[in-house]
Amino acid sequence: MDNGKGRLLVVGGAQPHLKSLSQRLGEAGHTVTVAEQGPWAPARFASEPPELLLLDLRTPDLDAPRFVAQVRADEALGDSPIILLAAPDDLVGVERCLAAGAEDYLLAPISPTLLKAQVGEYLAISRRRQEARDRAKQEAFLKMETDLQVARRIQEGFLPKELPQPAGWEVAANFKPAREVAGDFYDAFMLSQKRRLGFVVADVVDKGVPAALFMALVRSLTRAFAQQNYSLSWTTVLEDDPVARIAGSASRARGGKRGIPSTGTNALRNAVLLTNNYIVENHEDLNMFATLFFGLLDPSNGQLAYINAGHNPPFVVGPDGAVKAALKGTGPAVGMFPATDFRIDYAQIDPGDVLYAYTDGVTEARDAARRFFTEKRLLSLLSQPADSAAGLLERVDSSLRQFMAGAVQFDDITMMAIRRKLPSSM
Amino acid sequence: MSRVISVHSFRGGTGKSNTTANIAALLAAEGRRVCIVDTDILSPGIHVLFGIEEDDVTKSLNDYLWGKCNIEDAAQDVTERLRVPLKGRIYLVPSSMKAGDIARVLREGYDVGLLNDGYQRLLEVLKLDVLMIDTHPGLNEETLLSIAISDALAIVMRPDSQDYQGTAVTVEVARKLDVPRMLLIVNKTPTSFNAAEVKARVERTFGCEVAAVLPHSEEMMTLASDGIFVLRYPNNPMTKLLQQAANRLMSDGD
Repeated sequence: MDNGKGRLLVVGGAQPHLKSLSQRLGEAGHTVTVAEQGPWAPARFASEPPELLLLDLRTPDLDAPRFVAQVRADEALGDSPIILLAAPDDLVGVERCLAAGAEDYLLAPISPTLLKAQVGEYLAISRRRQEARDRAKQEAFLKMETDLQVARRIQEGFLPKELPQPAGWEVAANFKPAREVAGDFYDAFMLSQKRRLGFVVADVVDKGVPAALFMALVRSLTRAFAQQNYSLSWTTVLEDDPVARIAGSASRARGGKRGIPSTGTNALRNAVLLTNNYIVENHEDLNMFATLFFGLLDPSNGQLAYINAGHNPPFVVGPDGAVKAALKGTGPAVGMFPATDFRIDYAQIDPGDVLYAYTDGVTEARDAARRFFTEKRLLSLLSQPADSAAGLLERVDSSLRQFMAGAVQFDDITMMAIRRKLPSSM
Repeated sequence: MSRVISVHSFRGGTGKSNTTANIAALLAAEGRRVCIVDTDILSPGIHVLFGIEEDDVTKSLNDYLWGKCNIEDAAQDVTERLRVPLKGRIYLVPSSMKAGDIARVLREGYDVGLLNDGYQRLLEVLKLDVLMIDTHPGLNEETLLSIAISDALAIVMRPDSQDYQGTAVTVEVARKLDVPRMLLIVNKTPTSFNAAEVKARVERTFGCEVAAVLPHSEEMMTLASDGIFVLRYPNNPMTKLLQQAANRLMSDGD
């Protein structure tokens, strides 16, 4: 639109002198809209906002200063310059309108030369204002994109570059962040002198940069506490807790006494409990928490100890596709309550079994018609036999992609599959 | 059916390790396969009684805890060292005597869960009849663990007021942990004390059976690392008392 021709609005055009004026402007190449009658409400013109308004103060039923003020206040019209057309004895009216925000005026009889000059000048001003508005919008958008990128980078930086692959096992993960980062994470690392595989799938409740930072915190604390060896002092021993914990399980048969630490179980409990306590004590004001599943696997025999802190239960699926177990919650989400106890539960992963852990980004994924993916659909996908962990994830992932085609992904989608190989394939 | 026996005392210097070694020898002499684990990592000592020196230890409990070996690799067959033919066998899993290793444990700690798994493994791999756990004095997570998984617990104490108080704490904890069999062994009893009175008094105080009241013994002190007392002096009254204690520990009570 740099040809000097613009969209003009002439207000009050019923009068004969305005008719010829409008005609002349039209002949000069401008697009002229003429508003001949009321109601004089700027909202009328907001759908196709003009670049420049010519307002005749002699228009009947027009409260001109009020109209000018309303135009200035209007979101769509607010930047369009207003040129007043007035009778020579109406300087008071002109002054009032200038005070209300009009830019300039012409007195009757309107000189075509002066009109042309003013229209040209104020169109240019109008365009400059438009450009500034567009630039501001662009910057705001870029800033938001940058924030998202920052959040995304933080999140990526805290995901493992490599997953451990203990002999006889396959560990795979699949991660698709939402456009607005939502703070899922997964992690896997060897513990207790490589005798145990620890793995985590977690979901931070929130979005954006705060969620990404909180995720980084939870992930770091979980890893750090899992790798410490905290031993009880005798003072803690005398408080009821640890004794009760050890004494409080049903069977006294050696090895069956669940409260007794076995390799890595202290690390498992410490990781979740100490992280929880740290967040509750130091970040209460954040009001954030994370649902988290932390599994501790003995690769030599498939025994799994786990804590499920409010997270959707992972499934253990047999080689034939039958769901053998859902590993349900053993405590509340991490970061919610002080002095919570997180119970450890146990499961067995036999040769050919797969453990599938995920975040609710999977089951709550929506299609273009805003229907959910649902746990039912997920389970039916899992119930087909899988010959590899990566293959299983790929199957779920491609089903999700098809399902979500055309829809925006609102939540991070995170999945992990751990499969115990069959002896013949080792 | 294998049996796990923990030997514990609230304070140091009660003669716990000595008692452990002697009871183990008596059990082995009757034909059993016995293993002693020295879990007193911060102040290991029982190996001395078997004549083991630093150079004799290739792999220690510490190496297992730090993932360098399996626990059975750290178990030494010390039967031949005793120079007395035994019907059974004695194994020892020693803790490292090297200052650096002890310092490392202090600095880093270790996964106490490894101990429980280690005990189970020893029972299986060495086909043990008896596993004896020589614990660190005082209460900590290792002690809790060993008490919790034991079939029998022997608490060694001296008949002085400090030990009375500390032992009360241990007895209370052991009760909460539901040990099937708990016995007290009163050691280093001054010869001026009446053994029967001491037994009665201790049993009354703790509501717990006393397996033996052992007198303070000069011979035991002078023997030191020259061998295991009960094997050297099989007819000594002290040996008979220790045999009594061993029998009580192996039985499930009346």
